[in-house]
Amino acid sequence: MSPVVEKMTSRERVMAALAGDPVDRPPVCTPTNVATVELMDLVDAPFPDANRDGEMNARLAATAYTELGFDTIAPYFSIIQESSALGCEMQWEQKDNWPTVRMSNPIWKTSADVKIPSDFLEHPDTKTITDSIRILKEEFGDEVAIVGKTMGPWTLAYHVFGVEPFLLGTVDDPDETMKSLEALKEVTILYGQAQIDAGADVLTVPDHATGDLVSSEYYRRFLMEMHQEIEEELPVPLMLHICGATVDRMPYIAQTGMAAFHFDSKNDPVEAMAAVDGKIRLVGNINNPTTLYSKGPEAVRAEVNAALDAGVQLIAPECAIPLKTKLENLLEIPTAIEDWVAERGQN
Amino acid sequence: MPPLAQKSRVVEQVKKLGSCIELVSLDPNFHEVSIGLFIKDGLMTIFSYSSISGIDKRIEQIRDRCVLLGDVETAEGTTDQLRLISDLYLDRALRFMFIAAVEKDPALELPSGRITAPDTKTKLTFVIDGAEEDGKYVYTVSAEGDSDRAEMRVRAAVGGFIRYSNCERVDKNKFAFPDGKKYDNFARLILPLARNVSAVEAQLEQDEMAGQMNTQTLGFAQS
Repeated sequence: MSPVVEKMTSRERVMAALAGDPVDRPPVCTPTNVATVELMDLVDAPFPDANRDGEMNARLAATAYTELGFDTIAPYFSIIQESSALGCEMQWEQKDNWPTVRMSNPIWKTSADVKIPSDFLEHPDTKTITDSIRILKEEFGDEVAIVGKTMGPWTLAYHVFGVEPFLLGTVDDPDETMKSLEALKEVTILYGQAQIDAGADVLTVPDHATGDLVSSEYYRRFLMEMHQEIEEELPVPLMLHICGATVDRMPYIAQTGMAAFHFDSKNDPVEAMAAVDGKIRLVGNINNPTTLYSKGPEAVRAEVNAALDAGVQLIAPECAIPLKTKLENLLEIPTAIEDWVAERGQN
Repeated sequence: MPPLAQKSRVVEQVKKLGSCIELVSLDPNFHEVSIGLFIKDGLMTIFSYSSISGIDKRIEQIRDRCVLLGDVETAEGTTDQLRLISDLYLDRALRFMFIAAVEKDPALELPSGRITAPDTKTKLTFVIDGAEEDGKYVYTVSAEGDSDRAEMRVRAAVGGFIRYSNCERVDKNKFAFPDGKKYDNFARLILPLARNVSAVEAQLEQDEMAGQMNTQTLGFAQS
């Protein structure tokens, strides 16, 4: 970054940071989302309806920018829209809980079963997000970065095959696993492109090859090339998201060509920066369950400062925030960045 | 500050309200709105971002229930504000008070008179009496009924008051609030929680997990 960079719009700031270009200040990003129960009440767009109605979805998503001062709007709040359209059994939950896929009742058994319905992009639950992106783009234009989200093949595999059968399959028949992932990758690309067509500036690609489930070797073997291919197919900056401890696989993630990696607070930001060695930008990594959920603005500020001091390029909560997160804690993130830049200059 | 010409409603409101003590995400007695208890300069405010018709009345009702449930008083001339009755700030007790005020059926009469609660692990009934002792107000926990675990259960209940109200253990069956003053409403409120800390902790943990997105709640850690 350079002190001579003139004040940017939120969109310019995010796109520059993702490209590794100078910015006027590090952006506050929402690769996942910042919906809370209070914001749902403010704009009368509660869960689960806000996940299933494009207009309500846009209203709630926009609060990240209009109310909290973040530099992005991320309308895909959960991780289940594609899986619903593929036919998975859903549990839509209520206002204060996340919709989930009933993975104990998987819809497919083998790669041969993977079929993308012809009306996949017209299914109400996929269309909600593309409709929302169109509304947001029309409303905000180039003012703010619209962040779409398309689930990676590994996460989709958990949903459609069930976590346990899928992970056992990686041991019993790795070739069949690769076939399944290849088939599911088409869903990732199809839905990502649809969101780009609708106006998304950036896409998050969550793919939960997390440290507590699979090794870094698994990531290299099954996913690294696949993520490279996804990056080549989708013509906007991509942010890969993987929860949990991931430092061990960050050197591989850094080779995917994606613009950024959205990382978890289980990883020290200094170690993470060293692990990616400048080959990919980092987004993160304010802790959710402890800091944003149960502590106060001072603790949030300390984590923002730690991430900035380490050189993390885009600041964000580590994952989708708890729905009961206090607004004062979310408001502290942009304020802390402004203060950090004012006090220490740009990094 | 948010960058649009339209001023953020949230920024202004948060400045006005101060820190959030407790946020209830669904009010089961009023359209499942979220509702919070906030504190700024010793003044507590009950607030909801919902604008559903009748929300002001509901807030007043919750405020008035808080006065019955906790050792707090209404802020004169308001319908949504409360003050502590002393300088003692009992975070957990205030949170339990607010949750009970929102979640309990407003038609139900709140207990009064003797401070008692049945034990959940025996057939005993706990009873709390308070009296001045050496310049501080000391609460004595006793148990009515038959159980050879009575002494142990009383000691455990006192431990619950230490955990949830920062109380000081005066004796194995006695405790006092940190400033040595009388807080009968909080004593009554905390007793049902103090008698079974492990169950309360499990419930709190479960409540905290709701609305969190992680590999456990998404079901990715089940194998």
